[in-house]
Amino acid sequence: MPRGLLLAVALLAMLWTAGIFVVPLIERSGDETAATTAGLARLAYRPVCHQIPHRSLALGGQPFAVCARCTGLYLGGAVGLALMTLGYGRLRAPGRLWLLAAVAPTVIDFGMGHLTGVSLPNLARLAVSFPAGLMLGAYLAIGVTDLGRSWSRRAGNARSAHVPPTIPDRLHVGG
Amino acid sequence: MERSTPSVLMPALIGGAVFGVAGAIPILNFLNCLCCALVIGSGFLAAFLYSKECQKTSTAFGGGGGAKVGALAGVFYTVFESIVQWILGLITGATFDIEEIIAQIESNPQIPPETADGIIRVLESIGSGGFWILIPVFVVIALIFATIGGLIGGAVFKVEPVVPSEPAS
Repeated sequence: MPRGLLLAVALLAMLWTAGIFVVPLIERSGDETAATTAGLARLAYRPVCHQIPHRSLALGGQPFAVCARCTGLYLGGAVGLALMTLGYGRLRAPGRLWLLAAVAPTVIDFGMGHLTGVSLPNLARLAVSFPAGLMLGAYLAIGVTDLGRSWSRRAGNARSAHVPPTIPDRLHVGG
Repeated sequence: MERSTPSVLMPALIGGAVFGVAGAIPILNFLNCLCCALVIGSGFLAAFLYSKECQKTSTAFGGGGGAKVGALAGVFYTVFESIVQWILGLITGATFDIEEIIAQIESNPQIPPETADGIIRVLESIGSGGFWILIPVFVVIALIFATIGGLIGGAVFKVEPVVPSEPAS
């Protein structure tokens, strides 16, 4: 179960990340239905990102569904989850210091951008946030694997509680 | 001896309350634009606090516990954010108006016209009353992201139960 759950989460993360790149492609078609679909998709990503076009990378002149920083985080997260799924049982999460080191540049960039107004170009913002997403994805994979294991244990316990008593047990219970 | 599992309620309440209040405060709530950082933070903080409780009682803690405490923190997050936002709305007189949102989109030169048309078409078809339908969507998003925060917290602050060593024979 842990591996199946991890695979499901990794696939969902990849689907979510793919949507970021698909939205501008849909918009490019210029069709009215496509514009409504893209509008709905942009609304779906709205709660998780400011979606300011000049802070987003673009495809064919249309901005991605989320900003450059969020694109890096989601892309990194999806890659981290995918790597942990592929290397299931062989890969281990890096130490907490690596996590801090990976997240720190994004936090500094975010803080600097809001305090001083100085911000990196879009592609650099994506590159800076990618390692943070990668590490967080790896840790998320560990958490999901743990969750899968605890579900398996619970399912195992429930099954063993419903196992019919063996013949000696019956004899013993029956007197 | 049977060890009692610590309650997830207090860590989840603290995590949800701290980040939920922050999520309702203007400027501070901009952190949510960083992939729902505040919502993820609520689950992560709850997982950290719960791991401390588990350490005290020497109870195992990992992704399973992290998901549970994170999801509950997400519920508290939405409750606290909604309450504080409502109170701030009463104080400042700011109301939730769909026409105002459409006007903002229309007047924003940075949004490509095709994209703006698509968003406006969706908003108009939903209508002012129907916009409340989107609230459960936001609750579900908060639950998902807070659970992600809890799962990451469960992996970062994992606690292995202490197995009592057998006396040397």
